[in-house]
Amino acid sequence: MTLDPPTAHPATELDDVVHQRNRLGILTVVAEADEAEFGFLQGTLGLTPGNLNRHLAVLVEAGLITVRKKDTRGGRPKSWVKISDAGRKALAREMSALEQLLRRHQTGGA
Amino acid sequence: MSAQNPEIGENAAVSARELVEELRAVRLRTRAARRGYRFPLLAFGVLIAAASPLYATHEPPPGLSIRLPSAPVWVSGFGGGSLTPRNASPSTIAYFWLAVVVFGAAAVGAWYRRRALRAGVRSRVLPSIAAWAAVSALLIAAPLINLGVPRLTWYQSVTGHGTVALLVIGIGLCVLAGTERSRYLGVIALLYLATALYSTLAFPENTVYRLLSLAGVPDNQMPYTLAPMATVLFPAAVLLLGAAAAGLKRER
Repeated sequence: MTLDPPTAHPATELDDVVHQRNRLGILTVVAEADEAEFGFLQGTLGLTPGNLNRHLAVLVEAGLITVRKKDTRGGRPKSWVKISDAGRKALAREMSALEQLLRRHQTGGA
Repeated sequence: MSAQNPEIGENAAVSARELVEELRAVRLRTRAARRGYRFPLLAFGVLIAAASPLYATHEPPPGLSIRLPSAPVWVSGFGGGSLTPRNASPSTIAYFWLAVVVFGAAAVGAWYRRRALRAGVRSRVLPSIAAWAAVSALLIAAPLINLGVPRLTWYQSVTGHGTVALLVIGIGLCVLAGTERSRYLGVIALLYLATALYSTLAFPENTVYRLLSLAGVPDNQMPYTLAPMATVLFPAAVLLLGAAAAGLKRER
């Protein structure tokens, strides 16, 4: 009799860079839009500017987003955030791992 | 890990569920802030309705058939045939539609740009503008490439009524529905395309006559000169009603 190889727990699929709640929120916003402005991200996710900047730096470092600064007439330059292909894939993987985790729990395999 | 401790598994599942729900709410909020399709529906609805006087006909003097001068070859697709006794010549109709497509696409682009600056979230509108430009370029190039050889039958059948610009607009709106990820805009764009196809391949004035006949209007009182305006008023009505309903939907 052969045994099926044990399947990995979905939690092992979670990526530490992406899985952080706020970073996942940032990726969700920029995946929905073509680009999102710093102020919009801050308002939507309820983050302080310093906090948001730190999370953006982590995501830029990981190559999941790009940040473009654009001068505004007479005002301070605005930062526009765009998701990269790698960011889109990472978000999809993360969402799939979360859904698997939920399905596994619902079917009693937690 | 959690298999040994059901409580930990339960907690992980609860927090995963909360996270998924929170992200869904964030996505929906972003989508609502990003969407701006009411303006394209309204702008194109108004521009198309403005074309209606061009489609009114005059009655030719008895025994005479009137042939209006054709449009230049490069815009002939937009102007339609020259046999219908319309008030406007195919040239006027062709230049009007070209202006509608160019001005409409520019206005939609400017609207989304302005909206992005105000809302702080940008939608993709370039694919729609590219679709309007590409299909228009194809319609302009087709008769030029085809000079001297028998004209393409597909080209004649879609351009004969001078309403091909309605289809061009509809294709761009379908692309916009895709980039906006809006089922509502998709339904409106398809309904609009259906009425645009009806105007392109059939005679919507016959529907007007049928409806008036059902309402008891005698044949000698039919608005024969105004009824052909339905060619553009039917598709325009779909867009204007779609814009109005989108406004109500947003207010709710």
